Amino acid sequence: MELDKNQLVILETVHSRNGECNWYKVSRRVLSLLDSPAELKLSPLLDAGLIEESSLDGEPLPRLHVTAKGKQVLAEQTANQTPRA
Amino acid sequence: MCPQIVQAAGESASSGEYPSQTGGGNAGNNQNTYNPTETLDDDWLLPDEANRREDSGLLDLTPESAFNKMVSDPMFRAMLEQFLRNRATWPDPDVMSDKSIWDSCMQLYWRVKFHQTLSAAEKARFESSLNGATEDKRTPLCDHWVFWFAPESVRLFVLAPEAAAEIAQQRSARAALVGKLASADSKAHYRALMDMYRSGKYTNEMLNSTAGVYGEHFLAVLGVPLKGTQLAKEAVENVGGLASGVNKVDNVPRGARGPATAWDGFYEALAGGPVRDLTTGRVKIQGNGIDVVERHLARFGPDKANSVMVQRLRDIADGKITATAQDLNFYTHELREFVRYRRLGWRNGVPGNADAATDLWRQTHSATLDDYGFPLQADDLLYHPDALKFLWE
Repeated sequence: MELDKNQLVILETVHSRNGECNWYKVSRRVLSLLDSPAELKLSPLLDAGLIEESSLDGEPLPRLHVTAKGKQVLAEQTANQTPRA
Repeated sequence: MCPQIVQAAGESASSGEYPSQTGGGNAGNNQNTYNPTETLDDDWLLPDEANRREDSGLLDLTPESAFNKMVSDPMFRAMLEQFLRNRATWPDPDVMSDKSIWDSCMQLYWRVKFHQTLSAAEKARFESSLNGATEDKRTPLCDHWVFWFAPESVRLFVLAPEAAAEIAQQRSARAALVGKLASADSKAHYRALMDMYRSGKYTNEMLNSTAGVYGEHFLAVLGVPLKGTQLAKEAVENVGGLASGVNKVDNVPRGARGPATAWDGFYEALAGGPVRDLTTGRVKIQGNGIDVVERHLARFGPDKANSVMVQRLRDIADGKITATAQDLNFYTHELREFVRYRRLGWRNGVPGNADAATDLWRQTHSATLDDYGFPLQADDLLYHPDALKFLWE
């Protein structure tokens, strides 16, 4: 599965704080890293099953987790981007 | 919002743009002219919106008529087009089918225009009116045509052929368009310069040689009337060698939109109103304002960086510490952002859909950044170093 650059940034960001972040923290983190704020969308990753939400008692926003599929895609994309020796 | 808070956020309390909390905005002006019980059930409105309604006229109509009136409203069409163009990263951006786009647009339209929340029952009635169609129906709403497929109410958005070429041209010419917009206002020039400088894309050497895509604007930037202003101070501190040339003109153009909102998909109507030209100059951090900040931030959940900043504000109000630029920036930013949320109908909470929630935030957040002349990358301007280190925890 091919992710565009912006989706990859979002996926990596969620992964870096896996289960410890919500859309607000992620958005604040990536807003200026994306090509445009218009690229700030979670639904492509949610719909593709790469990340998922889980509710936590006492917190108004669901937390975000990278799924096993998401980790696999992330590993593949990262491997593809790593220059070979 | 009480008058003190409005003033603290750099607004005039008597401007009329920011209604009192009890008045409920423009809705309050017409409360006596609308009786929802005459034609509709109470479930058309959520309980917390019941005292904030406006005489829209739509609610007096049948769902079908209200639907037709809504889709004929230029504001709704503009919003829908904006939603659709925001989805330009789809595999085929010109042909798309997504029920959530329509639902999100409809919901936002009602919030922006009538300060009301569509209840589930109300949405269902609109759904029902759509399902009543006996055959496929094409509606040229905006630059996209919308096809309705009964009875499932599948929406297929297809870019109208005559709009395709124009949109393609707009996309390819985006950089040039941004440049033209910047040319219209020297303050925008300055903001563009500062944004690029802060992001590390341009060094002093590059600025001095006026190299790069925006090079032709840099000389104009030097003519920005900055003497004695906050911008001048920033220029002296940040641009160094350029500072000697910045005090040439006397009048600062006001009200222009800067880089924080110079992106396709930003829409002032979705951001709770026009971008203003505000400063933190006469702001006093007060307890009631901090309460509003705290309540606004609560909707985003626990956040260490925000907590540190709120505690700093409390300490400042108690006279324990002195306010820094970041404290004033954070305070005014959150108050102003709250105003924008509230004007869009979100006094508390956020949309349940992640995309709708992020869209609401990015629109209001970037507009608020621009209200105070900040670029998109403004973490170090909004968060004191004591809080900045917790920004991603």
